Amino acid sequence: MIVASPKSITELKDIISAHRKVLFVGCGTCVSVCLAGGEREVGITSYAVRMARKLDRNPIEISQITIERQCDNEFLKELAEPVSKVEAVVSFACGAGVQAIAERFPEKPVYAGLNTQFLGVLEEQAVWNEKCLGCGDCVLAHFGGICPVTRCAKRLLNGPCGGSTEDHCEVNPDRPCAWQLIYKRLKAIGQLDRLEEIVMPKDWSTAWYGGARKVVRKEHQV
Amino acid sequence: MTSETNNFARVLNSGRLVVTAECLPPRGADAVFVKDFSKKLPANLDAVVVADNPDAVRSSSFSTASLLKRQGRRNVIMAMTTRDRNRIALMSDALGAAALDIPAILCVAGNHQSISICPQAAAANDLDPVQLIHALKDMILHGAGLGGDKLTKKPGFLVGAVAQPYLRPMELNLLYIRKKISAGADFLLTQAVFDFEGFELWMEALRESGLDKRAAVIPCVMPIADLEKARELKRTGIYGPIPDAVLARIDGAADAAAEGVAIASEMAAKLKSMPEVRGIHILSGDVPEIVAAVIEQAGIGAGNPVRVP
Ligand code: SF4
Ligand code: SF4
Repeated sequence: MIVASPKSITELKDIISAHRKVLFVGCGTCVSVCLAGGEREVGITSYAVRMARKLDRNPIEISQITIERQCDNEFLKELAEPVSKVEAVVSFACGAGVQAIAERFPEKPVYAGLNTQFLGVLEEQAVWNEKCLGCGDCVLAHFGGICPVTRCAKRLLNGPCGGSTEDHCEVNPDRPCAWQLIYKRLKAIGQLDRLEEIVMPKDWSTAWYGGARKVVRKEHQV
Repeated sequence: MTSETNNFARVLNSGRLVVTAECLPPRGADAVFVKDFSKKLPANLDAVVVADNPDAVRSSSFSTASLLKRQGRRNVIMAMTTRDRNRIALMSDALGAAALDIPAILCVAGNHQSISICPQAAAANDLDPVQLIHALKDMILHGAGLGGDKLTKKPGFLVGAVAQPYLRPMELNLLYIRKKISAGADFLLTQAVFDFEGFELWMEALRESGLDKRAAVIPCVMPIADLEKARELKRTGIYGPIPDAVLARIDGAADAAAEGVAIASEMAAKLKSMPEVRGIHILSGDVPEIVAAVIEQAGIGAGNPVRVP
């Protein structure tokens, strides 16, 4: 899923300081699951911002709504009426959701309430780890299903750096070395011979480097 | 320079122990620093290896190499990190280096920018060192540029890789060394050796798999100036592991810097006695004077034993 984290109340307050009537929009998909931008978080954040503005003697009126998915036009329809009643919108979705709302309502200021982090996995209570950079040409097959593009801090595709230890990555002791994981996994599944092959330079044109990407699936077009 | 006229290649294959030293480029716009640095290094070093922003933003390895050449240094090797240049810049700098008669390029990943250089920086990491080695070899052997275009002239430099004697498990270590050699590494410069037993274990494994015959192994020794530096190196681990005994010796010494030179020299002397070791590289940091001291104390000056490549 897409993992995001809340912006601080101070930053949020600063972003909307010029507005007195604002709509906070939550998203019911990824960011709800990662406890950043669902109905509950939007409620708590509106309360905090309202209180902070009151203390500043600059009260603000905040209305709230949480829709199923902000990145899907189908669900954005529900926003037409509540958006029409406010000066500005704060979207608590990932960056894609924020931009979808902004495109849908070209006359309204739309701001991001979260910091979108990465594509990752919940691995223990309230701890998410990044797993995929969305490079557009998945090479997990070579690496026993462990992505060095994302999980090796030096993006090494052929083997570990000099700082690699069996316990952790040299860049962050809280994180395992991706290459140690790849080695263990390939050994466990009987594919260690894959490590003998030189992995040739990756074609980054499928990744973001060619500019924002577009997927068109003709077979599904009507 | 072609592969045939490459002087460093000739020395490396002559069978005698090669002795090389590091040059850390200055942190300022300082040509005089490089000039002085060169003057303080022994004249008969087999090569000077110019580091590429290992610990801070320093003057470019390219310009420093060319300044060293102006000082009459014959074999100046350039390190290139895959951290700071994408494939376009790597290939372009490699061609430029060849035109300057740089006899070897050392392909390194580079320390991670967050460790001491500039945590806010985005790294290139377009190629990794193995891919760089392979691409450089393609230029040398086939005159092929990365995009598949034909070079007007093939470079004649050697290609060096970094080896990590202390990387474990050993099986992973050997797999990676084998891959670097298959990609085209002519020589392997190791991390700094402070733990001789660990190094011997690794060398034994190389010998058993015949890898020591396929590329010249050149271990590094590093004189540590003081306890603070030793602690920092141990903490970051960027030059390899440092045993507590080394810290204790530096801590207990009346003259820490002299002790650092003594430790490095003793290590160089031990390494020299290993038949598989084809050279010694002295990591001199910003202090060129210590190179001559290590060479003298370790007895690795002129007249080094002839060894079979
Ligand atoms: S190879 Fe690319 S698509 Fe596959 S997991 Fe890694 S970043 Fe994601
Ligand atoms: S320690 Fe491992 S994961 Fe970390 S940068 Fe080095 S090779 Fe990559």
